[in-house]
Amino acid sequence: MAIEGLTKRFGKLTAVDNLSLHVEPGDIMGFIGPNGAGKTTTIRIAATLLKPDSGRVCIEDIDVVKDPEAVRPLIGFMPDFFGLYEDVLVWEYLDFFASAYHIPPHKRRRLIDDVLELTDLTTKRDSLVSELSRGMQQRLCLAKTLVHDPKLLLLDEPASGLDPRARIEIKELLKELRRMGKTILISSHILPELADLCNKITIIEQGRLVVSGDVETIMNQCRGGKVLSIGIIDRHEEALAFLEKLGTLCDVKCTDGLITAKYVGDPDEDYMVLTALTTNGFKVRSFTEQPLDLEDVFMKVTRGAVA
Amino acid sequence: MINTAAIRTRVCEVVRDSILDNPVIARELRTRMREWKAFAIFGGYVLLAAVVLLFHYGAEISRSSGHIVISRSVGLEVFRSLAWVQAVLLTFVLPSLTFSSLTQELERRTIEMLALTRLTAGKIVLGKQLAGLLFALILVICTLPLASLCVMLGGISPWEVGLCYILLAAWCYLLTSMGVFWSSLCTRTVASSLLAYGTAATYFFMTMSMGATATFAAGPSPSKVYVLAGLNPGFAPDMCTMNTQVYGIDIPVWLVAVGLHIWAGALMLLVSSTHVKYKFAERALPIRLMLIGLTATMTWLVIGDSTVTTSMAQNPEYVRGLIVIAVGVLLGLICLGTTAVATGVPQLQPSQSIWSYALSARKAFRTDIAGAIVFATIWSAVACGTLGISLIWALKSSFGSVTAATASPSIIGFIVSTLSRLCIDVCVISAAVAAVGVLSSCCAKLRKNAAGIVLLFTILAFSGYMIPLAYYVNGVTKTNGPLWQLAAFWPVTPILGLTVGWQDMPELWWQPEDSWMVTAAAYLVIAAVALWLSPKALARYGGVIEE
Repeated sequence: MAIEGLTKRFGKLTAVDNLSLHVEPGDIMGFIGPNGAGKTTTIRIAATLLKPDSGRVCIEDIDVVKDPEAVRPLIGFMPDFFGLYEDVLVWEYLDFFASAYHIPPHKRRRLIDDVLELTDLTTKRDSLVSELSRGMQQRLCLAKTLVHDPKLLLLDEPASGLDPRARIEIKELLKELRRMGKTILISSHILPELADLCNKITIIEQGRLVVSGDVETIMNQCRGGKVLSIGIIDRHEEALAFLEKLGTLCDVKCTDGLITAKYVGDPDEDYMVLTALTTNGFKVRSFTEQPLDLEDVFMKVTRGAVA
Repeated sequence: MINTAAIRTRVCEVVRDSILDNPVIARELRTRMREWKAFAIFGGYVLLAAVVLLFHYGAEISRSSGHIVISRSVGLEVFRSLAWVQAVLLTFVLPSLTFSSLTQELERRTIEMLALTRLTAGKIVLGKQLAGLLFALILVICTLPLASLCVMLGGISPWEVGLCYILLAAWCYLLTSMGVFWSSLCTRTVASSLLAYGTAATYFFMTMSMGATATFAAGPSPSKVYVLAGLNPGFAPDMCTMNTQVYGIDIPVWLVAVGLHIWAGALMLLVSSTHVKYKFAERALPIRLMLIGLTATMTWLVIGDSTVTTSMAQNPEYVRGLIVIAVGVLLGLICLGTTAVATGVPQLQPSQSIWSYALSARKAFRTDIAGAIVFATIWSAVACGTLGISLIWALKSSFGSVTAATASPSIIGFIVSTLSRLCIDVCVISAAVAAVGVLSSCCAKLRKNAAGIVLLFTILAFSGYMIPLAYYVNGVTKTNGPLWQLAAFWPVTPILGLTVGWQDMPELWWQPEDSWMVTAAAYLVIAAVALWLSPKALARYGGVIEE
């Protein structure tokens, strides 16, 4: 999927402002931004449900505005807020969509069983949709988006409004889809949800692209140097003064006996800090590089203008 | 050489795709038949029909000197009440089967997922309508045992009962289509239900009065009735055996009713298929052709009916009155229809001239407001042309049978000269309404607001005539008063000026019979001003937006 110079206005509000984005086959792209950043608008344009004011979105080189009907079978879209036909059985619901995607009747039964198994709803096959829990309904909606085996999945906040267990179940399901080789664009404003799922992330704010690329690259960019975490048994004040004088560390702080400091020296010679501490008789209990998570990246790159 | 095998395969494909393997029908029927309500409706419907039948049968039986006397035609009498009960009940039940079909998808937010599937707009709409229709047909079929009882009692043949059921089925088809139609145009179920019930009830009472008038006017045992007398299925037992005479040709009344209902239903379904959210369907060509065809056919049938032809042949004055009413009705209908086709998203390119855009003949049968002006003109011309041809044909067809004098060339000459002038007026007025539609589409953000402006314009144009009329009725007549000269803008003035004269009306600054020119010129100016202002309004207000 390629998004180029996408702009969408609602009256005076610019929801998406000259956004460009590429999703390669097999990518799991995390689409992150605070509420009102333009994530849903972008996804809805890609899903052919909204028309952009300018710019274009192509899926497999087909323009979504010029030929929406050709794009629709290629995508599986799950909106953030969706309705279900509550008065049908679970298998009937899936059968309806399978038929609507022109899947021949003899293949439907097998297919429905497969997606039900994938979404762990096999036991609910003959239940009424209205009797399912919110998490199950969310999984059913995801099952529905999979019946026609779309190449690209556009998932808008798939875990919103779910309890922690249901959230984990959805996450496991998405990991399974990743193993199956699906290309997925998944939006969320809850970051840990995407941390170990995506291989790429895009962060937008006020409709504008803030940063986009591999998770690792972006984390390294944002880090601007390693943060070391050093555990020392005693002589904390002395160690603090010693480390400040080293010259390769800054922002040296000590909290509860744990010293954190930003390493600004040669990236490959951070072990020198440890050597210096031990040779000077400090009792070092631990010496680690502090991990930086997506939440930190997010807080770092966005200014929180919308949220 | 026509490839019949290919056509057959194609027809089979279409039937399979849109009916047999249509998931919308399956889902709607599944959910509907799963509820107890469905069986309550079936039970209530048959029970009520049976009770009415029983009471009527009881009333038909008379006793004389200890013997029960039953009329030979008691079956027909009882079947009449069965038809009425069904007509009334169906009018109540049918709109409810489909009025929420598409609005509910919007309200439940399921429309997005439905739109993203490979189902076409036509298939969705047809699925919704057929699901309603099939349910309605089951209802109607449930009363067949009662109908067969009537056949056994005598007075009505199985063939006639069959015809009545065909009329009832056509009624079901029309009203379920009407429900889907309103459901596609509205965004809220409340609005669509009110409109669906409103139109169904209006149509029921309208057709009932037409049928009643025809039945009573024709006497106790008429052989020929008015062409539109059989539209209401309540009259089916009487109308299914009757013919109507159009231009001397005998046509069964039931055939006219079934044909018109199927035509109107198909037209509504086509329009609905263009209003399914997120689904684009370009159907302007069939819709507009069917609209023109429906107007022309109705005009042809109504004018050609033997009762109209006879009155026309007996009294030349009747022709004038007929022209006033027919042109007035056509003008009103065309203006209303133009409102629908002339409002929408303006697709005027910044560098494009408004004249080449709005007067583009290529767009006359496309979904674009620019096509409205040419389309309105074509529609008006065909309608007026059909009216003229029908009038002359009607006079000719009754020429031998009634007095030859009335069908004289002078009347035909009058019809030709009057209608050709009025045709110009109708064309110009409807084109001007379309131009106002283009302008309001350039000003308003929402299509319904644009349509509101055009309707207001049309109502003002038609009702403007009422203001001085009110003065006149109250005795305040200002002869040659300046207010009267506004009559140029009132679409009825040329019709009156050319047909019944101006008689006691105050003087105009022009000859009343020249009104057709003055009014045409006035509306040409309105159209030109509206079009000239359109690009300016579009630049300033942005025009109707899609969402």
